[in-house]
Amino acid sequence: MSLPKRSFDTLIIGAGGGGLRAALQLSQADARVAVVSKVFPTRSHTVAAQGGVNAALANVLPDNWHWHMFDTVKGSDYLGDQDAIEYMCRAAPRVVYELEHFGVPFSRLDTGHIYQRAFGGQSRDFGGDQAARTCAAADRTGHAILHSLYQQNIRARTHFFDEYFAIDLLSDAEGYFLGAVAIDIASGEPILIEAKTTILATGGVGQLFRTNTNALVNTGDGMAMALRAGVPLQDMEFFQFHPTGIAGKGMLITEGARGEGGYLLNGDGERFMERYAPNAKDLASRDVVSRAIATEVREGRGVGPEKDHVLLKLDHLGSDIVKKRLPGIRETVMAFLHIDPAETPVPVYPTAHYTMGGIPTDRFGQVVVPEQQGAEEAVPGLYAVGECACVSVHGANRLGGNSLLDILVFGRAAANHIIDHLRDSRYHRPIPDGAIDSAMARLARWNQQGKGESVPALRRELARVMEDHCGVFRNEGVLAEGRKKVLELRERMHDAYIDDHSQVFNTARIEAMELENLMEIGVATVTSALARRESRGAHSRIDYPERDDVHWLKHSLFSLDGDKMDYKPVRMKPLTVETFPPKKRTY
Amino acid sequence: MLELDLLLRDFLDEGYAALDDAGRHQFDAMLDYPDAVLLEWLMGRIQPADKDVAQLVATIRSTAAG
Repeated sequence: MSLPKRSFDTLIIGAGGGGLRAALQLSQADARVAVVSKVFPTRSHTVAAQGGVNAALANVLPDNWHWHMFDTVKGSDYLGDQDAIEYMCRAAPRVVYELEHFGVPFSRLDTGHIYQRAFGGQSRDFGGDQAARTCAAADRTGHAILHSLYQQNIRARTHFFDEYFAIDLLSDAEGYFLGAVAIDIASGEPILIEAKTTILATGGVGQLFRTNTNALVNTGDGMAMALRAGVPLQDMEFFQFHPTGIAGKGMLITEGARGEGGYLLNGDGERFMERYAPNAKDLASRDVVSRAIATEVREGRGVGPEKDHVLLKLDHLGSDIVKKRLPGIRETVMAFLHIDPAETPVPVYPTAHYTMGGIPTDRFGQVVVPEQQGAEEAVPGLYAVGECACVSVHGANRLGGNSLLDILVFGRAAANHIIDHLRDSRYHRPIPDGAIDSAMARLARWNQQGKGESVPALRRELARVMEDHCGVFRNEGVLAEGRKKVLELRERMHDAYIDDHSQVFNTARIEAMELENLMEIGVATVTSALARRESRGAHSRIDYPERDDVHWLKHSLFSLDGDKMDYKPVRMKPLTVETFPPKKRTY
Repeated sequence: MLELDLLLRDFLDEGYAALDDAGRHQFDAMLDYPDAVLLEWLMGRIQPADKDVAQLVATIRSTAAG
């Protein structure tokens, strides 16, 4: 079967900050670039990033990249690769200045320099006093970055396939990646996009969990495409949660609510944090509060008809305090629950926020895989950047302000590497017969008529199982049962059908393919979490509460072939400075 | 972003069908605004200057499932 074909130097799948930064660099170097995005580019999830970008500019307080590097290594609980972290922290000032030149309206000091705010986890002099390292455009940094990058790409003549959904990658027998098959969501027509190099930039996979902060589009499409193409996923057990999201909906209720005197109640009306943290109570660290909430619910002391959440009580603070000091929280609660937190307690549950794991890459954005148990080798023609990738600069936990930095630094680095590569590759490699068959079969599968499992119901069930069995409460029994359930769900997908077989704007078919992607990543995540018998960063095991550097200072790799785990060493050696050896992490 | 996804999805499921042709055109036109603007409107932080858009925003806000 043949498809309409378009040819480019580089295909980028995903139009968030990482994809657009790479696209811009390439287009400015006169490469022919296509960006495929299932939503209009400026609707990508980068738009929701409020915090800012870390860079040691030293505009507000003394700072340097080496301190930033120390904080990032420590924050990663020593699982971050120190060569990539050094590279990122050194490149940070430059990417911020570039953004400024692209038109991002950073907040400023009276002197005219870029304003920098202090965030948790930022220190001066290797763990000393608080630093101020985060550059922000008010509370709309992601929005400003995304719009500026999109406009610059239009100027640089990047070609956009808006509202196209990428189905699968194409490769040849020698393992070169050659582009992808995508479908125009509006017409339902498939298209072959041929490219000398392909960058995956599809973001995170928060939709794996029932309660999460992510946009509905964050279904890990790039990660799943990589898995199906034989690339393992790295460190998928590390998922960042916030203790209090609006239950079942996910929007974040910041720590500020508890800082102002709010506290948590279980179904018996008990202020349960007193049992878990007698001193700090509701202001205990994030992981302690998260696990306490999950424990209450697991032990049957939840609230609501399904006893699946707890309550955050704010009404005792009085209407004036809530309105004056917590206006944003009040707005969110009123918009989504139609209750006033000044009068009624708010249903909350830990909410999934950020995917530290992803497609393994080196610091040039090249996807790398272990070669026959030997050293890593780059996969020819395939790159990944941003939240879908695992460079790994975040290791076991990400610092606030480092995710926007990650997408900018490595979007740019991948593009620069590709520009060099394109100089030596004037022609496209031939696309072998049958290369599109598996992608087309994946599409055709959803045209089958039949009655069976419902796609939306399976998605709800998967998100529920992941939340219950691979969320913040993890031990051998819970994870093993979770893995069994996710594997069963993946089997049940074979019996799933959709009723809508039309071509034009068939969102049911897109959602079905997104669910296939989520299923694969669900298996990867729960399998990796079950295997890692230690607590490190965001992966916290009740049965193995300590970090175990002797056995577990290594990256996990999950392969779809046999659902197998493998491991590889952490790159402890930075580029030019001394290694930061693992130490106990205290803040 | 999640907030807009949920508010607009609920409206499409619960309220869109009740709009007349003019209302549907207006909804379509409203979606051309950037996410940050839509969020300010739908969270009730800012009133749209256009009276008809303000009415539509109020309808969407009241439709969001509780």
